[in-house]
Amino acid sequence: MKCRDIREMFSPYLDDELSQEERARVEEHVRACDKCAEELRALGSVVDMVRGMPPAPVPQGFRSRVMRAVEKEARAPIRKVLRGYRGLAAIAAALLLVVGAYLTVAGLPFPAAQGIPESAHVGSGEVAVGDAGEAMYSKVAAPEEELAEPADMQMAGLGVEDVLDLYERKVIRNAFLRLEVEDFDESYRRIITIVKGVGGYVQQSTFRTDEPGPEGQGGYKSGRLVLRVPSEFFESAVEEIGSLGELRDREITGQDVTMEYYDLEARKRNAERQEQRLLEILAQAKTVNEILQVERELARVRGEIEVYEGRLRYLNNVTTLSTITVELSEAREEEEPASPGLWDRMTVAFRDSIRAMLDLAGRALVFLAAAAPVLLILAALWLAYRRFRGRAGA
Amino acid sequence: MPMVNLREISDEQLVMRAKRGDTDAFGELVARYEHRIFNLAYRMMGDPEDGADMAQEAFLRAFKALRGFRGDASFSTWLYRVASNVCLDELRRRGRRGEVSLDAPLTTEQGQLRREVPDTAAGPAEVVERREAEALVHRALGLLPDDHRLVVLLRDIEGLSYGELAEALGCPVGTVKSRLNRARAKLRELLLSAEPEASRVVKGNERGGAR
Repeated sequence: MKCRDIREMFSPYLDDELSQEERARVEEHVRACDKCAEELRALGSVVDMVRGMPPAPVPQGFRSRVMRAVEKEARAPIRKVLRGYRGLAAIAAALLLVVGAYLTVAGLPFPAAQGIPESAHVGSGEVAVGDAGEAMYSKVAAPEEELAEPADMQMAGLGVEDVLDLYERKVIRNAFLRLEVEDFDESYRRIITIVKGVGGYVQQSTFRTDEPGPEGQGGYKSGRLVLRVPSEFFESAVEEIGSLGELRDREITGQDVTMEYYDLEARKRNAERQEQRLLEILAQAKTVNEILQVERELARVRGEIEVYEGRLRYLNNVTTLSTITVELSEAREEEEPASPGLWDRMTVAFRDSIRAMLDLAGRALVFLAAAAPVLLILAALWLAYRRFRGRAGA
Repeated sequence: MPMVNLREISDEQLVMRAKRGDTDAFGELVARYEHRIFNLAYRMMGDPEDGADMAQEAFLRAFKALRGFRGDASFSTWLYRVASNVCLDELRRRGRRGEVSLDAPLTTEQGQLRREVPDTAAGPAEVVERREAEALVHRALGLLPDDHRLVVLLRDIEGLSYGELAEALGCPVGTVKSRLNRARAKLRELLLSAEPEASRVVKGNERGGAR
């Protein structure tokens, strides 16, 4: 056996980690080989020297220092948890960022990015469909402003009385629509169908036809319809008619005449009571002069009553039936732009892309601005964590 | 709550308590092992202050990682492993490759002394040979590669068996054997060849410790 192989075993020999057989082999070798014997002695003395090093005393206050750090660690369970789920937290943060960016870009409700949320108004001047509380309030304070939809009220869980009460609200509603349609006659027929379907009628309709042009083109029809539909179908009728063609103009107005209506009713009742009294007086009248005087008064009161009744009838009519005015015109074919060439389409597409990118960048910036405070805090926490680690590791 | 004398229960029971957040139990473990862990860290780092810092970090890391300690190895072996990694990490971070700061005073139980190496062949008379020898070994250890120094310290200072060394170092027993052998041979070389002073000390030791 070579000396090198034997010397390989010196260390385990000194540590008593050899088998009986190996041990015997080492001892046999060193008896014969002076060089290896010397080497083993030297190695043994090195081991002795290392083992003979006096143990160093633990510095003063070491344990309390350790335990302070341990207590601090034990008292910070949140940090411990965060440490365990650091990867998860990072993923969650990234996900939040992506979702946030997506919401921002997609224009879903995100106040900072979208600005003022759209209200329930369908068009300018339309009667606002407020919520229940608003409607109840406005009825007391500002009756001319808002009208609550009965359906909404029921959904809001109001009692039957409230609903009935609200049915009594008198609102005049008018809509003006300007439509461009492909086929005047067809659209006209469909409007009639819609109006009849909801129990309304055409109050007035006019139309005219253009003189045909020299090349046989033209001959376009346009016209105007005034429709009356029951108030409860007003909205749906407006929507349906508006969808028949290209909507060029739409104006919806509402006027609450509830106060005026009930005021008139009260005056009418007063006048009727006055009439009743005058009739009683007339029955007791003795002289012709008396009779004439009472009858004159009676005629005045009756005239008053008739005025009130007329006005009430009118209000009833305009509030139970809403008015929709539709202006129809046929689309002029030659006005349609010719299909654009390849170059035009390319430039348009290019411009659209640029615009979309700018839009995206803008939204991303807005989102970043919104996220900045949070990111700042996170960065500060991270730095603090790093510093803590650095100090502990130094 | 029954009174338990923490000093009388086993490491394993203390570990179980510490896992449940009982810092007193962990404190008892620190008390049991601070001496060994500090000495390992001190000799690994070559400087008592660094040693104390690393020993503290080792205990702190052990406390944080206690949940992951399954009890496959004994607590002491596991703790040695944690401490070893703390020291190796730090040394790697510093890139010092196991050099000992020669100017730092050497702390012994008798107090501090300055290292008298290498050309103070005739050391001050009052420095006893034993301390001289210790200083030389300490310095020689510092010149060993980190993993060699570690295995020597765990074996000859901490007294781990080959099986425990394998667990603490996370390598097979065969690797432990050869690494330890090479480390000792290198240490012997360093002590014998480098300085006449060292040879004298080593030779003197060979002759039975007498000059």
